[in-house]
Amino acid sequence: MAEAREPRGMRRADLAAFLESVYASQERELLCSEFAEALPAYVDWVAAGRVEPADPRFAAVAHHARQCPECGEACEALLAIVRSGPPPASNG
Amino acid sequence: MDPGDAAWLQALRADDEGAWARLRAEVCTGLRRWLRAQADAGAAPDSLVDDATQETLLTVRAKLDAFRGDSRLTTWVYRIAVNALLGELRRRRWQRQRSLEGDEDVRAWPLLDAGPDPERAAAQRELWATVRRLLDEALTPHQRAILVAHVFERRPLDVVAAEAGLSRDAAYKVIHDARRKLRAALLARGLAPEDVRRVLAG
Repeated sequence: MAEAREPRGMRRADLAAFLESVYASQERELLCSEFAEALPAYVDWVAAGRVEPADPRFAAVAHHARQCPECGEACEALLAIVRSGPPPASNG
Repeated sequence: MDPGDAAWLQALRADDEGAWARLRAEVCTGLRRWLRAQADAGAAPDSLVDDATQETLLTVRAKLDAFRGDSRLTTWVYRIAVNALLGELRRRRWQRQRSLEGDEDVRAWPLLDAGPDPERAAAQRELWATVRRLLDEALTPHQRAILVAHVFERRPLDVVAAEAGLSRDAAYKVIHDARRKLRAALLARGLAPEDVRRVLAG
């Protein structure tokens, strides 16, 4: 038997998230390819729990991860994989 | 660069079989472990990781000279692998979702879960009506189509970009420009972020 079609509509949480991204939009933001290039260094920095000194690009990377859900998902996935792997010292 | 990474990189560049086998094992193990932890892992066949691993190794081989050493080598490779795996997972999710949904225009969508308080619910519906009106008034048809397809209908950005004949970056820029226009239009109507949060909170 075919599955029933879901009603189309807007959920409040989705509308709130969309409007947050609208208000948070900045004049200049990283494009997805710029984000992808900077992501590995950012993830290593986050995984290492370091606070300073931060690459000035990292604020823009974190912002893009919030504004672009797909890139945010990639960031979370990469962080999870890096955290579940061996520490740098054993990687030789 | 980490000395271990430098040696590994040198071996990969020299096409050392063991170095490539180790990279394949790293990628495959990491992707499989991550996928197992995902809610929709059951819907993903084992071949998905194998295919993503294969695609990753081909990309790494082509781009190895672009690795600058500002991250661990494995993190750089995993970024490519995550991109390959998530791209395929999104396409599969979208195909499943599309088969279950109607094709009503977003401008006809109701607010599905307005709050229990009648006055607050009316304000929430009015806000959603304003947003839908601004999609028409503030955006070009091109901006509206790209934004609606990706943000509201949740079509993967790579799919939206391909359908529009754009690169992913160009499609993202269209969405960014649309957000900037909507932001200006909302603020011009006196709708500040804190007002919107208050309306949608309860």
